[in-house]
Order: sequence, then C-alpha cells, then structure tokens
Amino acid sequence: MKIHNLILYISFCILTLQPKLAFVQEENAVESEDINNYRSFSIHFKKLEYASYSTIKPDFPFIIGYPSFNSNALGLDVNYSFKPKKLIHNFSINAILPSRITSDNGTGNNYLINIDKSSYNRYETRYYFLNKLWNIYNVNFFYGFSSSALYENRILHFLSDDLIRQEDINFGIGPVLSLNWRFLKLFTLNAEGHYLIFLPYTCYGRYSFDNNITETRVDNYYPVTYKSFWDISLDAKIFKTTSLSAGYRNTSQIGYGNSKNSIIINNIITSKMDRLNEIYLGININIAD
Amino acid sequence: MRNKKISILYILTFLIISGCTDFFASLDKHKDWEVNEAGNIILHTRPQDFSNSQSPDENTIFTILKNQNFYYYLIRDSLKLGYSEKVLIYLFNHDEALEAIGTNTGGYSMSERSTIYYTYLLASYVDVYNRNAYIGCHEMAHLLTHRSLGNNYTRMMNDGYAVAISGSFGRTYDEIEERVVARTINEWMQFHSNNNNILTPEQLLNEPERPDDVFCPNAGAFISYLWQNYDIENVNKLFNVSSDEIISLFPTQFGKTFDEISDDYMKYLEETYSNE
Repeated sequence: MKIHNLILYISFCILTLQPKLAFVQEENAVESEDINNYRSFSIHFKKLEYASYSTIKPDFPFIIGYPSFNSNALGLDVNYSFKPKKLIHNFSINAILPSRITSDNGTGNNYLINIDKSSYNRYETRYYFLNKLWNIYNVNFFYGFSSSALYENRILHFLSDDLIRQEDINFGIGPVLSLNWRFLKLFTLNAEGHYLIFLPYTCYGRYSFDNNITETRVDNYYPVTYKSFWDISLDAKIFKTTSLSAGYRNTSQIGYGNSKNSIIINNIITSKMDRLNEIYLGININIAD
Repeated sequence: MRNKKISILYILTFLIISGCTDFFASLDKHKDWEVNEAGNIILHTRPQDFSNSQSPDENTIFTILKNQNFYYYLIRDSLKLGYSEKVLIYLFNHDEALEAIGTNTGGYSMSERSTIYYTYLLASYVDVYNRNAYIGCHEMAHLLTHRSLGNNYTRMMNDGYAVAISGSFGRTYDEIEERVVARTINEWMQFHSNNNNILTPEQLLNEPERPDDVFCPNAGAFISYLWQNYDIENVNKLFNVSSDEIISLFPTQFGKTFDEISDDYMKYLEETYSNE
C-alpha cells in the first residue's frame, strides 16, 4: 500500500462521514472529555499486503530483498478493551484469512510459485495494558506492556511441484507506547507502537518438504524473531456510543528459525523477513460504566 | 520527579528499540536488474553503467547461462536428485557486492528460494570441466543438495558434496598455461599430505571448525571416495543427519562400519598421495 493511496483512502472515509458527523457534533456537545471507567468493543475489516523478503546479506545488519513471496489478503480484527481503574486492558484477535501467494523476482515476475496452490494465513491473539503517562493539551500519552501469541502457516507450491509447508507458533512480549488526541469533540486520532520479542523455548515451527520423489522430509525449527508494528487510526463518533474507525498498520518481523533451541544462530532452517501493510475500516462501541 | 525520569527513560528506550527492525534488516530497494533466461537458469545482472564497476556484457551473460545450466544438470543427474526448479541468480557488481551481500569474492545460495547471490568478478577461471567459469559449480551444488536432501547437514557432507562435484576448491595460477584455473582436489590433497594436514573421517565429523582450506578439500576427497566405491543414493542418505547418525548408518548403507571404511580410505590416501 503506497502512502498516498492510504491518505486518499482515509480522506475519502472522512469526507463521506461529514454529514453524519455534523449532526452528532451538536448532540454530543456537552459530553464529558475524559471517561474513567468504560468498556469498548470494536471490529475491523482489513485489506493487507504481505511480503516475505529474502536475506540477501546474511550477516548483521541483514539486508533483505528479492525474490519475495507476496500476498494480498483480507482479514478481521476483533478488539475488546476495558478500564476498571487505572490501567486500560486490551484483548484482540487478529486473523488473516487464507490467501494466495505469488513470488516477485524484483522486476515483478513470478518464476517460482504455483499461485493457485500456494497460500498464507496467520492468526494472532494479543493482550496488552496501558498506563497513562502524560497529558499535554488534548493529547494523552500511555505506556505499557504487550504480549502476543502468533500462529503462521505458509504453503509454497513451486512450479516444479516441490512443496514447502511451514507453520509456527510463537509467544512474545515487549513494550508498547500509545497516544490519542481528541479534537473537534468528534474525532480521536490514535497511534500505537508495539515491539515484541519472540524468544526460543516459547516458539516452535515445522518445516516440511515434499517433491513427490523422495519421502516427505520434516525438520523442526525454533524461531527467534523480533516484531515491531505501529498503528495509526482516526475514530469519528457517529452516535453517542458508536464511532467509525479507519486506520493503517505497518508490521515488520525479522529473524530466523534455528534447528536447535537457541538464540545463537546454529543451523538456520528458514528465515523470516516479513513486512505487512494493512488498511482497515471498522466500528467501535464504547460503553461507559 | 522520579516518575518523570522513569518516563523519560522509558520513552528513550522505546525510541531506540523502535528503530530496531530497520537497524537489524534494511530493505534493498534496487530493482535495476536485466533478466536473461535460458534452460533452468534465470540470470539477473546489473545494466551497463549501473555503477563504477563493469557489468557483464552479452557474451559473458551467454557464457554464465550456458555454464550454470551445465552444472545444474551435472549435479542433478550425477547425484540423482529430483530437482526441476528454476534457479534465480543475482549477480552483483563488484563495487556494490560487499555492502549488498556481505562479500565481494564470491557469494552464497538460498535453497528455500532456489536463488544464488554472487559477485561479478570480471575475470573468469578455467574449471575442472575445462569451462570458462564466472560463478562456478560450488553454490549450485549447495542449492540443489540443500533443497533435495535437506538443511540439517554436517559440514563434512555439506562442503564435501560441493567440493567433490566441483572437483576443486579455490583457484590457482597455472604458470605453464598462463591462466587462472580451479585448484583440484588432487592438488590440494597432495599439498596437505606433504604438510601433514590430511584429516581422517572421524576428524571431518568432529572437528568442523578447521580452516576452509584444510577442511573443504579433505571433505571433498572423502565424499568423492564414497561416491566412487558405493551407491550414490546410499551416500545421499547421510546428508540430512547428525554426526552420530552418520556413524550408525554406515553398516546399513554400505555393509561396513564407519571405522572399517575410515581405515580403507586412509589406506587409499596413503597409496595415492605419498609424501613428495
């Protein structure tokens, strides 16, 4: 997703909401600015681009490039958050539905993958909590800790009929920083950054290879990866408890799958140099207790 | 006051970490490749005047494509590998290679993506098959064996296979012919015999940290010996297993124990490479 496409998309969403917003603005003019106890439920529909790059320079710092495996997919996020006292607790389930994969040699050509028989999907559950750090004018800053359980499954069916199936489950933790800015009573701009480290002993993967000639070969691997993602969204209130949300999320995950359970590189079975660009549109329901 | 300091510290830590994915791995955005295809090889080269170093011309591209197809079929057919995937080769110009792929004297392969990254070295050398080689056979051997036989290899099998099929390791200058040629396994083993650097199969399995110029020719010589004396498909079964498993598989694959074959091999070396 190119940035100017994203800006156009968000601008379009805001413009189409304008008539509704003017009406609600008047209705909620006296609403409280800061709600202490609340529950919030949201559902986001998303479209995303997945690119898994090759490690073209295998020494630190890595350089990644082509050929890459790419996918355009659809997905769904379901989020629930509540603030009983001081902390804001957030739970979310993020799903990317199975989608087709192609390859790109760097000039846009696919020399490797049978698109119809290859697929990618991932499911992630996240829990994180936020604590208020600062409030400057109308901007609230939060910090907290994030945790994630991530499952990924990728089937690469090559043009030669070779088949590589790779699936792994990863548990990671890391810091999170967040801010929101409420303006014109109706709009809230949210930004969040999560940084997760997936360490050995909490991650496990299976890599199987089948070329229809020799017997299927299965290698276990232990992923050591680092994932960062940042998310920016704009919420627009359309009713007292309901708002629409449009946003963009950028995820990078890098690391490798060792044949032994160790953070030190031993025998790399596979590497993970993945980037995801997501745009989403959703609805939020906020209930003050 | 204390809380403020903690907050600032937290944010600073966060900002440092936040840059990390790009710090660990940056994306190479160069897409300036000329793509030429022949047989099972898709060669990516830099266009002319891409950088200060010379990019390969048409004749060189033709030679590389022809050679790499030759190696592809040689490795696949002689090792009885079921491989039919196309191989993508990215040939980086000499002045960008060190930064781009981490070396400007060679390259490496990535079997999962059927890809070789290599440096365009300008000057060719004559390989053991009497071809003017630019990339050589070594990385193609790694690629096809890793993909077909597995990634859980010992160094003895991994480098042994690549050196044995290349018939050589590194290059040397032939003063009689006045040209750069591949340095053959025979030349290396004679050299190591003279310098008491012959490694036993047990050392090949247990001492993988030995320097390349000692380890690789020795591993290549042992694998060549196994190929010549036993069924190649049985040797292939030792590729994707640990050192201990290799030793335990010898009786079933070759009808002799590891120690018996080691003794036979050391006698063969003694007869072939007597000290000069």
